[in-house]
Order: sequence, then structure tokens, then C-alpha cells
Amino acid sequence: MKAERIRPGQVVVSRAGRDAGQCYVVISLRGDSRAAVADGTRRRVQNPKYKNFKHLRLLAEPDPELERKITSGERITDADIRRVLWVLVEKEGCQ
Amino acid sequence: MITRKSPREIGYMREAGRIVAGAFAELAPLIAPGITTRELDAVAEKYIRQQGAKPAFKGLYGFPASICTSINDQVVHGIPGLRKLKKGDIISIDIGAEINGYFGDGAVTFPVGKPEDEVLELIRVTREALEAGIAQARAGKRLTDISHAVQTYVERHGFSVVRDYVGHGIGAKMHEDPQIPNFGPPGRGPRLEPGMTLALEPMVNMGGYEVMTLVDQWTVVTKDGKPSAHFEHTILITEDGPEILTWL
Repeated sequence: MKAERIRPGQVVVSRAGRDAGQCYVVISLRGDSRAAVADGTRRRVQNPKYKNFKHLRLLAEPDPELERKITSGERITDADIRRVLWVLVEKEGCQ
Repeated sequence: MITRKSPREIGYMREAGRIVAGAFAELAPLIAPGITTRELDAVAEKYIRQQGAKPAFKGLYGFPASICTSINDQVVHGIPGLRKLKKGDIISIDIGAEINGYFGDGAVTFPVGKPEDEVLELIRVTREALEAGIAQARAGKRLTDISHAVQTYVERHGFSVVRDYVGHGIGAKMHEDPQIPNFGPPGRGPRLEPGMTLALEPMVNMGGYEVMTLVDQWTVVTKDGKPSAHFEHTILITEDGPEILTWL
């Protein structure tokens, strides 16, 4: 099978820390061990949380629209992130 | 989450594994110059369905056929078609079967006719690397003990292991946790426990480890165009060591 790696635009769940169980979208990678994540409400694009890869679980494939925006350097908004996460709240039990 | 299977689940997986192994036994005598990969696909699908199982790859993430047929520099996920096997080719066949909601997954690389000695060596080393990995799949060991054993075996023989594709947990889904890389340091990752079922699948390149995907969005080939081999077994970890499920 294809190796899954953390990529920008991907939905992840925190599995360690006080935010365990919280869903986020990866907005960028910092070095090769940490990802900047945001949920569009408590953690916004302007003030992302940095989480170790080890403390994240991959949840969904990157949203194509969001991935395109991030890789092309376009600005992403908190609304974009909420749009992606909202769909998953019921399906995956995201908090 | 890595699941440990109950005896009932293991029974279903043994059945699925036996069907995968049976499909290889059906295909093996047919592999000769002149046969198309589509014919091999049809034979495998018919056999799997006769056994009351479903070909697990058909439709998985949109894959259009029942088996993957990857020739020479194709690493994995080759789509069966009208290409005919030629003398001196090697073909990696990957087969999955589902029965009662449980999966088996296996792969074998076959020589067609008599390829060059170096290519036969690649096939042999890949098969033995899988065996070296399986030998590490014991309760109490850690996941990357498998990865490390595979990598060291392959590199000792001057070949390289593909990084972008990995082994996987298997059971009620084709791909479950954990991912099992075929490279890396030993002693990391979760500890292996009885009841875990894993699909170990080293992909070994004669040249460099880089691969790329062709425009069909499926076929993965080596970047340097050199041949690649692939062997896979579904195994169960027991108190007494690994048990190969994809076996007749």
C-alpha cells in the first residue's frame, strides 16, 4: 500500500496533549517532525498550533481544494478549514 | 488502532489466505511468453469467485481489475491489459481476496522464461527478505524490527527497498493500522502481540529506491527503469511465532 504521510490540507486528530480527540487541518509543515494545525475556531490560521507528527493521527485524505490553495501559496481562511472539518464532525466524531 | 483478531476472525482470514494462495497456484503454470496480463486477471477472478470469495482489489480506491500485474520496471499496481509476457520478463502479481468480510493479501514475482542471472538474484533476495521480515514477526518484538531485518537483508545484496510503499495491518479491512515500512532502525513502534495480522510486502529495486506513478494514476515504476520485485504474505502473530496465512 501507499505510505501515508502528513501533508498540508490533511485532516488529523490529536492523540496526545490536552487537546486529545480534537480534529484539525494541517496548514503547513515545520521541519520534518512538526505540523502547524488549525481548526478555524479555537485555533485559527493566524495562530496555529504546532504538534509533533507522533501526536497526530491521520484521518482523511487532503481536501483537494484546500491542498491546491496551500501548495499554490494562496491564502487560506478559517472558513475554509471549518468547511472541511464540519463535514467530518458527524462521520468521524470530531470534537 | 491495531486490532487483535479473535479465533473466529482468524478462521475467516485463514480461509481468505488459502484462496489467495490457491489463486497463485492457478496462475503459476500459465505464466509463459505470449499470455496477456488480462487473461491472468480473468483466471484469478474466476478462481476467487468459484471459492465463494470476492477479488478484494476490484474497485478498491477505484482500481479497475482483480489483480495487479507489474512487469519488469513496474513496481506495483500495474493494471492488467493486452500486454503480452515476453521471454526474460519478470511479473509481480498481487492478489487480494475477501470472504465473510475478512481479507487475505499476497504477492509473488514470477520469472517468464529465463531472465538474466542478476534478475533472478533480485527475485530470490526479495523472497528471502520477506522471510527475514517474517522471522522477526514474533510476539514481544517491535514493529520496526521487521522493517530493519528486511532493509539490512536487501542492502547486503546490493539492492534497494522502496520507501513510498509499505506493508500494512489487515483483517476486516484490506488496509488497517499499522503501516509497516521496509526500512528504518530496529526497536521502534508498537510491540507485536499474538492475534495481530499483518501483510508484509517488501518491494525491492535493482537500482535506486525512487519510484514514480505513471499517468494512468496507478502503475508505479522505478525512476531509473531498472527491474523491481515484490513478495507479500499475510501473517498471523501467535504465541509460538509467525504463521503464514497466504499458504496452501
